[in-house]
Amino acid sequence: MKCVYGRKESFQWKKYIPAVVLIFLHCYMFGQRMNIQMELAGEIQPLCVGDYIADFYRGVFPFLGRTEGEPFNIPPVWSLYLIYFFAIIAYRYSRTYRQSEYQYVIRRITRNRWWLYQSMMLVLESVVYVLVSALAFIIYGIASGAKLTGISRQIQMEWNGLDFWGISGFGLWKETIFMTALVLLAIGTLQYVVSMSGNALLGMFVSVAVLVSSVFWMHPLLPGNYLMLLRNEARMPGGVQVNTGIMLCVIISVVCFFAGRYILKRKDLF
Amino acid sequence: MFLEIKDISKKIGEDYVLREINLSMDKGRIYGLQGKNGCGKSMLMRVICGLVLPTEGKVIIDGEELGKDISFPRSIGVLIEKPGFLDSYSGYQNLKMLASIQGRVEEEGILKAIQRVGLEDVMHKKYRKYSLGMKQKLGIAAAILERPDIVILDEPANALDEKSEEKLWKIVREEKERGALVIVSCHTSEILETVTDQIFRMDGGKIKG
Repeated sequence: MKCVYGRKESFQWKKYIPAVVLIFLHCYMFGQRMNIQMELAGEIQPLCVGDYIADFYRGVFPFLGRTEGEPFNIPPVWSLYLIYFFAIIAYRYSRTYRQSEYQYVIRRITRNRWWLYQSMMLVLESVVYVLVSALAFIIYGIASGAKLTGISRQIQMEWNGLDFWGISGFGLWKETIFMTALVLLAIGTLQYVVSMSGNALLGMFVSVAVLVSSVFWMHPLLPGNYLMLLRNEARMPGGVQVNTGIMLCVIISVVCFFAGRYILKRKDLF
Repeated sequence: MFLEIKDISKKIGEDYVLREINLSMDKGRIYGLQGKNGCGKSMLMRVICGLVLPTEGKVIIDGEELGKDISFPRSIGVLIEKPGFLDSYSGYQNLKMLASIQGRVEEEGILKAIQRVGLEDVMHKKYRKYSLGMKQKLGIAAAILERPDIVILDEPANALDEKSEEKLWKIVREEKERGALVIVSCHTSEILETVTDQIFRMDGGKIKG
């Protein structure tokens, strides 16, 4: 892919391996759990790719702190998957501002144009990360003999606590894969802009803080909530709405885009 | 004058690294910046390139103000501190990618720049395998590649042997004869006195004298 300032950026597929491994791991654990439960119940039903996706994005209930010793649960694989994306963004930031880049920057482009390029790369990173993840689900589904389309509503209701009655396959993809791309873009852009003001580590700290806060509190202004199906208003009274999440992520991304442009215009480079 | 530096000051934290710098430079001349380490030579060069924004003052290049009319000088070749290129590409490929941005230089021009600095034997070798001297030469080649109006070389003789250094100063004179404005920095004055038309001595972020 040729970028706006003439250097070809090769597609680094190896960096997605950890994300794919995490998805495979999660799918395997879910498959094992479902097999055991179905065997105990004496009913064997085939799983769908949608079942794996739904479980991955199941999430947890908000931490209420009503009982002493109530554990604060953060879904481990799901959170590692998101934190790994933040690490990719941090790495991208550190590569963009490395010494060799100044030769490209001064030759052609204005600071505004350079920021536009960086923003496009953030969009691309988010989209590709999600597409690779979707592909990982599909590959695992095929390998495990799962149905490619649809979702096992009964399995989800009885054994996973997720109500999908009235939700189409498209609706599930919108709530999960599409929403993930938007949330990753929003938090990733925020992280990048914070990094520009401070450093890559600070940016990553902010992203992780947003993630942990989202798990801790259910609030429509915390983007991580939109990646937990349990917290959707279709399954939980007073829960978050997908359309609100889409709007929030778009607003965060746009605000961060303009903030980044402002910062870069005044930032000392290299 | 082609390049005017007016009342440039740069503050980092509580310290002034550049203080009230006023300079005028014209094309077809070689200017030297001399001073000990940490006196502000590289920082001034970064300001001229547009990489660093001054706290006060302005830089005007051919009537256009940096940071206002233009982000970076329209025609500039730069080597500041350590040269930086892409490790997994050869010296030739690195220069080719740079040349493709503005499209002012064809294959012939790239090869000529490589030949001028004496890297023709290793131009297809990966940059990560270059010695320090080779990296420095490639940095100089990148600075002169597109025959820019302004050539900035920050301590270009670092890591060069005697023969390569002679070649370097020959290149600097050739750039001047071509009509470029050349700015060279060095922490020793002996070399600058033989090569440059005018020397600006810096100390504590200021121009002395």
